[in-house]
Amino acid sequence: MKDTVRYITVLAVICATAAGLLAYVNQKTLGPIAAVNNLIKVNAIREVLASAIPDLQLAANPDSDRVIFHIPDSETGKDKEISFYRARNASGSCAGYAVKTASLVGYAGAISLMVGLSLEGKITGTCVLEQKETPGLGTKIKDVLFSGQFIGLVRAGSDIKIKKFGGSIESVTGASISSHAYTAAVNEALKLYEKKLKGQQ
Amino acid sequence: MTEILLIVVSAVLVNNFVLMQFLGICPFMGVSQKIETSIGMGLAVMFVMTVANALTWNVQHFILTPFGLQYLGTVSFILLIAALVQLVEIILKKTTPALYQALGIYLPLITTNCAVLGCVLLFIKKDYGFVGSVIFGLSSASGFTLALLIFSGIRERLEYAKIPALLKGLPITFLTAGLLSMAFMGFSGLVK
Amino acid sequence: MSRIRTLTNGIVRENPLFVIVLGLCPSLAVTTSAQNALGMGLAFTFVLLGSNIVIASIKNAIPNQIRIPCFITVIATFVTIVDLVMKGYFYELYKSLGIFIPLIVVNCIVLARAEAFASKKSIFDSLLDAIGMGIGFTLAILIIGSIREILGDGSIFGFKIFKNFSPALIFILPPGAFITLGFIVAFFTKYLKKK
Repeated sequence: MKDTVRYITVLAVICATAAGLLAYVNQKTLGPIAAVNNLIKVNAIREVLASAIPDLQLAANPDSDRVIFHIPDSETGKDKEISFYRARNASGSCAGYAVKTASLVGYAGAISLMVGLSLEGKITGTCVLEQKETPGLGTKIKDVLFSGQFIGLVRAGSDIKIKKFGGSIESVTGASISSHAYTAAVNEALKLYEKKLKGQQ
Repeated sequence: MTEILLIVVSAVLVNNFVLMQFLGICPFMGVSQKIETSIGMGLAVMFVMTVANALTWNVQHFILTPFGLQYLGTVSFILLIAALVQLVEIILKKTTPALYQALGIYLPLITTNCAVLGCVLLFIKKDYGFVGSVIFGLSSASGFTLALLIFSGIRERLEYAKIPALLKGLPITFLTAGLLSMAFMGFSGLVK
Repeated sequence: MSRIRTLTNGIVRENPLFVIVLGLCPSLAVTTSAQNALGMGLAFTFVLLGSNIVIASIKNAIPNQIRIPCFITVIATFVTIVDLVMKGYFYELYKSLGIFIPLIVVNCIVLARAEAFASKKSIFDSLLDAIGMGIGFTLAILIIGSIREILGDGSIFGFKIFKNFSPALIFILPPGAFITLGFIVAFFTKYLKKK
């Protein structure tokens, strides 16, 4: 009996110390972690819009100036979130959008992208936010050789497609599934923009 | 239903824990000499992993998340798994000695089997819901058992094979695992 | 003299990876590039250092029967600290190491050192042991990571070293990890036996 009490006390003391220490470290790292996540978002938005809006102004936290839509994924039907971050020029009016979009049908799970759009709905740039594709094959969707092909495209009535499906986008060699998922994510951003936001700034 | 099927196929074949995600390699190398021991280890892991997933899902959703304590996740999960393994050991010993005889020696090894903790940490990221998480646990463990069984089958044959002196023992085991993993790569892209 | 032995023990003679063959999961999973391997090695060394010191200093207060849960708690605490700090300050590395940072908890080497060394020896010796083992492990996975990155991507630490080289992709895919480790262990065993 005495032993049991001792065991419980020792274990409880160790656990309490551990929890206290972790609470402290967590408190200290909360700020930097939030800052890093924000920085990644801001950098991605700048990357896809910089060429089109030279005097780009962003809120310190882009989340405060965005429109969020929930739509079912076109291939799996699962709910997914697409955010449109407003990009303002120096005079403060909306000059375009950076769209955080995703495809759930990459080769190894979801691929999420940032797509820059001008007010007319022309793509000003794309970049990958998260992906788990095969290293050396699917991961090449990050290369400018691939992602740069989208710059200047518009959705003129029909979807942007890879060559395999009769479109103009050259897929990454050996990774047509990843390439197709990329176009699907871009298309969804464009479609949603046309339907919900175009012409109502 | 399709969703559950997807979880099962992807956990057993496509993202096989041992061969694709490198979780639980130590027991995979350690107990795969004989088919018999592989079955024992496999069953023990299946049991613990399923129950561990069910328990940690509740801890995560009713304790850690509501109180904003996600940073205590790793600590609490590993303690939970260790306690669970102990508990299973005691219960088995009291109630079904036969099963305890069969699985007993594998149970303590499971606490440090990274497949169990890995599985728990993975399903929390995937947000499967309770039923999905339990099924994910069961099917991941089945994938582990499947890989273990195939591998021990191969190793039993290897004993009779002529192997270059340089590669005898562990090295040839790693090379075999490499080839097996290559075979499992054929499954990737099966579930989109 | 014996202190130096304690320190160097883990680097070659009892190299945790190539000789004792423990802690395989992270050494196979995160060694797709030299950079990842180095990050993992440093994170691992920090955890081992912290847990060895703490365990050596509280060993007398811990009853024998519950030592394993106590050790695990200590180890898990250090792992969580690494996890949080990495998330805040080394995000890229954190992303590529993924769940293998929290999985240092169940890395057999850490628990094995706590059980076999730190719970019996003095704080200073445990510190030396942790440094030795940490260096040994880091070197080992750095070797694996470099080989896989050179053969599988034709580069090292992200710098291309070959022109007109078509890399054998298989080396950065899962099978390549097993194959690389197999050959390294083979050569390590042969070399040590000769000695």
